[in-house]
Amino acid sequence: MRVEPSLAVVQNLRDSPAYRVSELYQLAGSRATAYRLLERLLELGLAERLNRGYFSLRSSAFQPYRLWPHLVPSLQSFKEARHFGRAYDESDVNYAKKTLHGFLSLDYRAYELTQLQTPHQYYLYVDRVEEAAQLLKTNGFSEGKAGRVSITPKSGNFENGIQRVYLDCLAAGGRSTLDAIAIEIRYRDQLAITGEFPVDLVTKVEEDLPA
Amino acid sequence: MNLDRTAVQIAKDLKQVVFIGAYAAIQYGVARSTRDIDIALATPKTDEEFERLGYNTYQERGKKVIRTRNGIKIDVYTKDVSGILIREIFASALTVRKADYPIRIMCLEALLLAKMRAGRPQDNDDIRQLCKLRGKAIRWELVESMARGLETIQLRQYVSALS
Repeated sequence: MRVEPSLAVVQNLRDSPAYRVSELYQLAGSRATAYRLLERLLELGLAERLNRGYFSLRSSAFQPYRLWPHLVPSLQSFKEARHFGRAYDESDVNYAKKTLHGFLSLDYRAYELTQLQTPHQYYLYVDRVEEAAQLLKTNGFSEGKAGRVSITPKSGNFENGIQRVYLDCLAAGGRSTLDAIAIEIRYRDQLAITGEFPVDLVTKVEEDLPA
Repeated sequence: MNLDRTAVQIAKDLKQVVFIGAYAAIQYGVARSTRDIDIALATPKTDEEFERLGYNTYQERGKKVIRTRNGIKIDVYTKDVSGILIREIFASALTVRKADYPIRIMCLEALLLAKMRAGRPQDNDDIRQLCKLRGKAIRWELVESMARGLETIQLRQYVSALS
């Protein structure tokens, strides 16, 4: 998926939980361009439409523009992810751990690598999504938005597993940004592509990382 | 890691304590947090007092660090939390029971304002979750009493967008 440099204009916004579309008018130059810009950000997976003309931006939108192409496979996988829940607690994750096979990323993999933050979402790249979805459904799982088990098709590069988990955390943004920083602190020598973070955030992660 | 058990022990040891930050956010439904616990204390304690209660205090990169016996880092606030005075934090705190022991947590309204002021990626993430889960439970008169400038309007916009 192509990433146009003009999209980086959103980096002039300050990182915030939600924005009005009208906040983009001046940055984009016109109302029509603002809506086109938002559509592209939604397509890329960097933005999400909220209620009443608001939208949110992933904090990865504030990473340097040169990194955006590396984040696109992760962002697209988030868009394609399907979420499942049965009891909507840790038991769902335990079931998925025992029955599903694939490449584990985000919360649970980050926790395995760093022990920094309690994990919540079990995010798994699988070879055959439909097969995995059927397995979950026949075992009492329902598909929806709130489930803690997420499955998504493999897309992009998985040769360097640590790099992929790092890019997934970086692309997800929000709390996962802390996971990305922790992975970088612990596995710096295994990363060819790294993000940029405020010093105070890096210091916080350094302080909170278990010895 | 059992943060609840640690929180109860901290409450028993330090008495006049309100849990703030990520540990408070978990009580309102936020799913993820780091291993540290942030607390507000009504009366500051010296390093010696912490040591006597079994806590480890030491300097790390020029900053004072306090850790529980099981290694959980505690960040202590004694003046204000993101500009909200400690006496306001105590006056508006809620009591929840953990392991059958009452502990006090920062109210949702103060938590949201503190997170808005901090404005880091994890804070914005938490605000989004809190507005989705608890937006309708916000006591706006309490927000007004602690907010600065346009913060109330801003928070109303977030709730309107997210809840």
